[in-house]
Amino acid sequence: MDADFDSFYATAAPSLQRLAVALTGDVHAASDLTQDVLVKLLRAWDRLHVDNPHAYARTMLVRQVATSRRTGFLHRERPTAEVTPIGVVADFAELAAESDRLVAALRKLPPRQRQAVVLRYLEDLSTEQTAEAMGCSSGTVKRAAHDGLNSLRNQLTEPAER
Amino acid sequence: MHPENQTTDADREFIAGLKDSYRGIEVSPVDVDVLHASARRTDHRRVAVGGAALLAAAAVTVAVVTMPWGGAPTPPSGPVAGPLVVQEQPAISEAWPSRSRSDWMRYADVVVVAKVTAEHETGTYGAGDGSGEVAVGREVDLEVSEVLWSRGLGEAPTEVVGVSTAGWLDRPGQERARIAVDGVPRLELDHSYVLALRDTDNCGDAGGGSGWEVLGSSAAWPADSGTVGVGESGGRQVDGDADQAVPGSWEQQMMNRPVSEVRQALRAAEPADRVSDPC
Repeated sequence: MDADFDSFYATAAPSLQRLAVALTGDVHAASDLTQDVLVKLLRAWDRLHVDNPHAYARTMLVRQVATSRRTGFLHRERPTAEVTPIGVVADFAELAAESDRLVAALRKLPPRQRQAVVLRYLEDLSTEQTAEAMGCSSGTVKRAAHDGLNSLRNQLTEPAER
Repeated sequence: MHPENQTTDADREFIAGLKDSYRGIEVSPVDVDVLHASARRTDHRRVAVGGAALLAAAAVTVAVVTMPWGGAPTPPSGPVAGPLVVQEQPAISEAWPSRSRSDWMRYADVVVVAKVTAEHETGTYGAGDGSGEVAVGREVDLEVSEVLWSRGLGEAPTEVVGVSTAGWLDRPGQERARIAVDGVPRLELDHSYVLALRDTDNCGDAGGGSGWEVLGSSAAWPADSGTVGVGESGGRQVDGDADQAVPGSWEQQMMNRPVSEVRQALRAAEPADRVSDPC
């Protein structure tokens, strides 16, 4: 089972961390949240019988972020003042810069819109799967994803391109 | 078709660009060996992993001590003193749904009235940005005076259990501040609450925790003197104003009602199967 977990860890950890960064906008908190989820998973690994541990871990992470927000743990989470519009990606350095802008733009969204956009569009979950992970209705997901996407577009697109 | 249900070509193109940026987010792998060791060596979550601090508030433990059924109402307590950092969360997300009575029936395992009798520091989380800010996790002891409702699977709190609650913020040269989320009780000393709790020890529950957790932002209600809405919320004294509750929530409907009506409503509610997480 340890080998199973190691294999799972190797593939899941980076994507979980990426998701955590997108949901929190805080790389340090994202690292902690990811580690916490992985520790919990490891401790339960032998008695865990799930078809898709990646999806299970993703749900755990979304809930962990939600709990952290409710308790004020993510108190540093606050909007950034300005977000630079996204341009054409030319190389890896520029890609990293675009990613930073995306994270900054996501931080400006209300939590529900951010969750909906990240899970629905960036993680490619269905509306129903997103609703399950967020603990809300499909209608709420649709509204939040729609509003969040529009907000991101306003932040990240050059005015002339809108 | 409603705009929320439409995805245009422009949307798809924009989303594709977002995905490129998303995939480019840099991550630093955690130390898997230390991860294994810390998880196996002790019941504590993480002792020292790659220099990262403990996940403080997300792992805060609340000790619950049961008291005889039908204990005396708790007298109202005064306002809580000291600096307060209130986090505005107009659209707070939920670990589990908690706004309606049916949410409680489906997701909670027990609903109790409890009073906070002690608090303790747990882990810390450094901001890591050079500011020197440190968030400190918090553990409180709850004394349960009444179990208002239980799913009946033997989960009623009769031992030390764990839920999350808000902690403190230390800033260099400043007095320690209490962290609070606007409209969410932080569970202050000597105050009483109605709490909808979920047992996350369940294998197959993606809460993934160990012990009890508050369902969400509308699952802890101030309840000093046995009256819903009176007591502490967001780190401040509240007096049962309907605006202090999540709009449209069951809490808002029950505002200023005696706790006995909550008990009656829960016991009169249609039983519902416990919603477990899809695996």
